[in-house]
Amino acid sequence: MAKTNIIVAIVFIVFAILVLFLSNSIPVSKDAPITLDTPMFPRMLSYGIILLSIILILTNWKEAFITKTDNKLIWIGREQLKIVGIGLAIMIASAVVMIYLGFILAMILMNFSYMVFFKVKKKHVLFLEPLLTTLCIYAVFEYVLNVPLPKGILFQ
Amino acid sequence: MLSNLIQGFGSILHDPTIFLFMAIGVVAGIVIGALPGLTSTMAMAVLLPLTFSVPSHLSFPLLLSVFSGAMYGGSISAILINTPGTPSAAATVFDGYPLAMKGHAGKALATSTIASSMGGLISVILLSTISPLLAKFALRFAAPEYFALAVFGLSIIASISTQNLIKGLLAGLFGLVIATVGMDPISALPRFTFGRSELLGGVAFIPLMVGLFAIPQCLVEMESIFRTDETLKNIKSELLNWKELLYIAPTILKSSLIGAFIGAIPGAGGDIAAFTAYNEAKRSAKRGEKFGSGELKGIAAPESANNATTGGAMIPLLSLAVPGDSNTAVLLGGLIIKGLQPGPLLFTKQAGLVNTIFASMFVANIFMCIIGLLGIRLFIKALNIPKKIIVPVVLTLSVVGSYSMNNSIFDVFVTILFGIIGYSMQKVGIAASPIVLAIILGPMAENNFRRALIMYNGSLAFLYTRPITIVLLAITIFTLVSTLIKQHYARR
Repeated sequence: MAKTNIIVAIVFIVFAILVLFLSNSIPVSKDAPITLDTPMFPRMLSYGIILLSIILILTNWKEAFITKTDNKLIWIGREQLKIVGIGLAIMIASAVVMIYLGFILAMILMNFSYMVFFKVKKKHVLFLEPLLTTLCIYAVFEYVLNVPLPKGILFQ
Repeated sequence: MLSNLIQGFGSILHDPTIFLFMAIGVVAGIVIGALPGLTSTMAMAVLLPLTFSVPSHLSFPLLLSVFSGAMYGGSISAILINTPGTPSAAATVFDGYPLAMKGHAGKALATSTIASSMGGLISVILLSTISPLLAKFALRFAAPEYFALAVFGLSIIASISTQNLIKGLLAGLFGLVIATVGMDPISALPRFTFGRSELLGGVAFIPLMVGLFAIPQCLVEMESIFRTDETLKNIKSELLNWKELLYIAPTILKSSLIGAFIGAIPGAGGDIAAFTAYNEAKRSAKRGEKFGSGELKGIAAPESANNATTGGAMIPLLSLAVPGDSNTAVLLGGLIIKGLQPGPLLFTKQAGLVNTIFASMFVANIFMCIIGLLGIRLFIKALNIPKKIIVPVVLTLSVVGSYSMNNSIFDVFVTILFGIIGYSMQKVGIAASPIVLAIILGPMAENNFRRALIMYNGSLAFLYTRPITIVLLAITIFTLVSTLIKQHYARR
């Protein structure tokens, strides 16, 4: 996992540099000079991330590029990536749809999409699961717990 | 000290509805815990919105029942299908599954049920006796002590990052950075809010938790849906006899003490307790070589230890406002939502609620034992629900759970974002627990460090002039050094 660790370290360094860059725009309070300024703590953390990331690179460099004893890039297979990608896409699309169509329609669509994606062939499961799951959860949250769920911009 | 527990029984007897909520909580917890991929943390995070509309004396017993039930429920799938329902049940697999394969699934499940309940009961007794004492001690805590305590809590990242310490620390620092998002509590100036009002209060904790725990599990389950479809057949439901009960009793007692102690350490949860108790049971057993082939003590030890962490983790939560694990972190969220501030003052200002919590945990464990023994056959049926149905249901609950926190679709996107981060980190060998621990303890560390600086007029003298701070920092250094040494020798 040495190569993966080096990639992980690089990602963390990029993240830390981004935090350092963004911390420049944080306003500084002049009222409390005896304690740390508002941007100081995230900056200290960023330096810590960079330091640890460099250590991670150095400790994995030999295995990854010199001895090459453990240089497999363990990450995710193409098939897994496709499954996870579709799974996430359905969820993101449902969240967007929820803004316009509301909770009930968005979640029925989401559940139905997952049923189709998982290749559920039984018709009653394919249609009843999305309906029952969504309506049961909606009833519990809306009527039992008094949590208002989104109605959707188009239906307001 | 047990008078607190007795007073708690008195208060819950006034409202029988509590028993109904607890029974529902235990059943829900057991089912959720038994289903691989659904953790007690996720279940509690999803149910947390209940605290908005249900009174405290009902909502907290419900959450605690879910906590206890899920901790036990994880053992059911560990025993029956060799897949721990929760990380805490990982050690139960070693002997539970072989015993089930020998045709004694009932004995294995009964051992797990009784050990879990006993572990929970022992830990509640400890909680009700030790917590008030610890609370009195905690009254001496000021900003420097809280800072040192937060640093000690954060040092647990080292011990839970067994696979790779540096990656664990990086995850912790990442969590600390995330915790800085929002309004700075000292200067009231915004940090990393990008002009979004939703971020002024920081990244909402529940959507983040649901994202880090539930979404990655669902994505992993999605991968497996296209690979396998595991089901279990021919399960016998015989229970334990008195001889077997007496045989496992000392192991249960010892493991419960281990579990309660480990549970009280911030950051160390049921999984660590279970493995520690399993190792100790194996080390001290006369027939240690039988462990791993269906030994009853091999089931009793991890199960009593992981359920004992439920009470143990409540000790620092209630006494010091430091969550012992991610489950109590969710409970902490619930207490804060209700406007309650855990800590020493909770015992004086909300003594009734604290006693109700003690008593409801006790009763929940008794319910768990009864329901567990009666429902073994039913749980097996619940395990047969296909993942193709469970995954969409969990994702729907994740969406509604994260939305209902602030009635904000923005939080749903936060959940999805942290789901992607959590899944990616899982794939590259980074656990979510250091991130969660850091997000919880980060603000406590930063704010109290800055307050301590103000108290000492900008000087760092508070680090070496206050006895409790010195002791806590010394323990932190000892923990870090010993962990580093152990990991160094383990690698060699």
